[in-house]
Amino acid sequence: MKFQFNKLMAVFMITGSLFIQSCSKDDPAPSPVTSAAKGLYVLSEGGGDSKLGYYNKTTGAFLGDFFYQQNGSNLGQIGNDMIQYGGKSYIVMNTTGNVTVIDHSTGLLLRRINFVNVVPGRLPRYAIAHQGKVFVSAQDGTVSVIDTASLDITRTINVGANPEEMAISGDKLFVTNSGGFNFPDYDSTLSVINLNTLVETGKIRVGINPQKITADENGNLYVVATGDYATVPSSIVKVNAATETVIFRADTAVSTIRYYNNALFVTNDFPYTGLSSNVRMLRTSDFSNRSTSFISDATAIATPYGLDIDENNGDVYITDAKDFVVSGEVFCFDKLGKKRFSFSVSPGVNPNSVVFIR
Amino acid sequence: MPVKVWAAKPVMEANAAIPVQQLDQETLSRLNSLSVADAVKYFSGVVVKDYGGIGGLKTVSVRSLGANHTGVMYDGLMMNDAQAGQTDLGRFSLDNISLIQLFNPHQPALLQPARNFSYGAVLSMMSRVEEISNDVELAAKIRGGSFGFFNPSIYFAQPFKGGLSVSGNAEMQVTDGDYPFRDYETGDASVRRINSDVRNYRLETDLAYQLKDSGVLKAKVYFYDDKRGLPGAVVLYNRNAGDRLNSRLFFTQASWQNKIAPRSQLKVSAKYTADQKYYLDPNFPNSAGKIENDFRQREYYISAVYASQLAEGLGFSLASDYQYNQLRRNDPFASGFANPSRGILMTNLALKYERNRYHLFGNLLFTGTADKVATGKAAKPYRELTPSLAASFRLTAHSPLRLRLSYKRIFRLPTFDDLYYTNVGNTSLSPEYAHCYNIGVTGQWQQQHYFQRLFFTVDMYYNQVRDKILALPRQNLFQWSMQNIGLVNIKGTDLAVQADFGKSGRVQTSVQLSYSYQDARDFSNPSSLLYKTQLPYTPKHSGSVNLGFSWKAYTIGYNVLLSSYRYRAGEPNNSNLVKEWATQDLSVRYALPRNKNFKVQILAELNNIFDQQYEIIRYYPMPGRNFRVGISFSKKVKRNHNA
Repeated sequence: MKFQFNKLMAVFMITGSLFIQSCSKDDPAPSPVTSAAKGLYVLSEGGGDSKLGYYNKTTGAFLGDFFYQQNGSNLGQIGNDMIQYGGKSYIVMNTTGNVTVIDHSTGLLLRRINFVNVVPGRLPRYAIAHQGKVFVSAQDGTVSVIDTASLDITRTINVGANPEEMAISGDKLFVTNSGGFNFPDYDSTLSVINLNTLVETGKIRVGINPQKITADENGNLYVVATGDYATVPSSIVKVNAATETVIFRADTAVSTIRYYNNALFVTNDFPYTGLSSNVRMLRTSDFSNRSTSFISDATAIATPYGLDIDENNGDVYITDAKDFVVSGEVFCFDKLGKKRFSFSVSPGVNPNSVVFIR
Repeated sequence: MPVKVWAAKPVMEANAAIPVQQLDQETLSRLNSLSVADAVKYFSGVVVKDYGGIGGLKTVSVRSLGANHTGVMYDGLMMNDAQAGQTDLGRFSLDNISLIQLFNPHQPALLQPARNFSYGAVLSMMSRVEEISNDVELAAKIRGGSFGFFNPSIYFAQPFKGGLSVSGNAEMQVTDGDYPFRDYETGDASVRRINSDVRNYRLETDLAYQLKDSGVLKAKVYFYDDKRGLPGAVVLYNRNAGDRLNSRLFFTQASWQNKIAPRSQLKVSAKYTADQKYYLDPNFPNSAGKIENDFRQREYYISAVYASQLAEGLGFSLASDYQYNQLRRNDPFASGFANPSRGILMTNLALKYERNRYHLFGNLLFTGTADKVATGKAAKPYRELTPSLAASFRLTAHSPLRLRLSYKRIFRLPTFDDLYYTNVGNTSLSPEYAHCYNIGVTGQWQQQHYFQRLFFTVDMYYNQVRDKILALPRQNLFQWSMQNIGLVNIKGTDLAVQADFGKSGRVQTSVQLSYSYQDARDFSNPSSLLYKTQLPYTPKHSGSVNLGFSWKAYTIGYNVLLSSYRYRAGEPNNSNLVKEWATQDLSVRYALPRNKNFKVQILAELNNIFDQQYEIIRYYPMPGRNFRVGISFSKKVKRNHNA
């Protein structure tokens, strides 16, 4: 009986290990590549894991998990925003709760600035840079100030509920207070922060659920008040930064807004509600369409998600989140809306930011 | 000699026209499983989504139909969650379970409520009371183990004169659940799960009355109270977790069955269920600094079934059920919640023919619904007629082999969550349909060579799920909506072998093997990268091995679970890869030499012997090596009365 048992065990062990071998797949090992040449960083927030990808403009090659290759470490979950300032780039990790700072040219990790040392964590969301400081909005109702030399948080300013995007005009920082987590009682204000004193000096009422904001060079802000997704429609609100007053508003469904060269570039992404998903150019005066579709060729984008403009040549980069669960794609258009190139950001899901390596 | 008063006859798996797998009490006691969810991992064709630990959610999808198509039955009547449509099987302790069966798609029995025919698969749990004896019995068990696990339970059964018998069972489970796992970034093996504590207790009372006129009356009262932390997914560089879930389940069910004519039987059943789930996120970034969900469900259910023998081997039954479900949300954040209620009428006609080499079972189910809401728009009424047919026959008059074929068309109603979940629900949803085809061969040999018994089943199936209800983003990642857009084609093979050998008095060995192959592909959208990819978290290959040895006072169980790699989202890339895993468990029981009416057993279990670090759901690490030890006492007092 004992013999039989051993034989039986041996059979199970062997079949078991064969089974495991035939059913396994291995991860690739990290292997740093040389410094990023002229190209693009693409941040994909991920369904789970965020990915920083690198696109080489000369060769057209794309490295989907550049951060891991360079650092042997993962970014974490839900990277919402990425900006460059000086020789560094700042990646805002929402769920993971930090701002990951890399050397802009090499992609090497410099520091993870902790946003979870305050219980239960600040949930950082967007970043904007100004004169040696990076300002980070966080969903706990704060804006933190990072000194770009020491990479320390030097100050945290209380604003409204669940702040989102920020814009700078003159010596003021404007912060959208969405109040999105207080559904259905959204916030409807912009916080104004004096950049010299780093104190919130007031609030401007713009309309419910403000999330996106962009500034022109003439002292105007364009704010998207997203509405409540049900009865209150989405609108764009024009604010005079100096007087802090609303000077124009118009209802239009917009999810991302960027000011460039006397026009507003906006995306609206309603792929499943019958509205075509498109990218438009709006007049800054009355938000009427300068073009119903910025894209002038046959390029189709399923879900425009992020929009970034290369200020050197007017190229427009649009990220496509597709159905939000598969690898996204980045499209580059010239200023006339003709596609120059596109690439998949696999395995990146929900790409939201393109940052230039010049 | 214990007498089974109304023992549920275990279906002979090898003869069944409908695929059935089962785990009896003896096998269950060797499995190192705490909950029903742990045990059903040993069935083929089953994918258990296990979020880890005692407190982690565990749902079951059979043959890739989705968790909503699996019905869960307790002592003959279905459990139902009208809100989510799926049951957390981690909440059902094995302490009081004597038999678990999985039917694809339903139990081929006539005297059953109509609702029992409305699923793609039925998981049946039988409590110990179904095998009650005529003796007074008192039993107690206490177990302890790794991560602060403490689990006492008691059981009593008291028969009275005149055919009445009462039994009761109480159990408590406590654990810190703070098992260590290997940190995803640093590899540090000393990191622990946090906020993973569980404290639950369960009370069950059963009453059975064997009536003078051959009728049987049964009643059950069940109460379960559970408080747990939700450790959540591991988030890199962020150790905050504070979500809590408190739930309560109360149900009471009663049934009466009797012969009303020489060849006719009637069974009447009723059930009332109250269910409360309270969820708290104490770290929600709103102005209250927290969010609460307090969902309360009620279900009222009645059923009557009439079964009659028409001729030798030929019988039919007609069943009619009515159920009424309501869902209320009672928390300060409930803003505009629909508070829906639903009435469902089901009527079922079933036909069974068993003669000579041929077995046939068919049914036709009518379902009609009506929804009402306190605010907003109610779903349209649904009317559906769904059939099934199964046949099996012995290849030749004395062949040990049988061939079986079956087809079932099923649908699942949109759940309250699908229809009415704030901002996500869609009241214009249609039901989700599935067509299920099965062809299989079974074989059975008794006492040949050194086998006491050997049987195997091989089944190949094809399922198609149409109008699958999926959540889709509407405007952005924060706005989702339920839509009938899925199309899934599933091809699979289930293989099971069981062999018992060894003579009484010597080492007796029992071997069970199962293997599943599943090719479950998403055909929803030809332009998506997901087109024709394998469903998330569905391994192509999975299997299990159970070995049981008994020798004198010792019983040893050795159990292996295997799963091939799979992808967390459909797109097959390394970022989505969830690696293959295998676990091995060992259990030893020793019965102290006592007289046969007072039994003492010592048990020891070693789980995940080789400390395999694995996950079933990405970022939900499973426990590594851990142990449990326990002791059980059982005392029987003979009663001699002529009931």
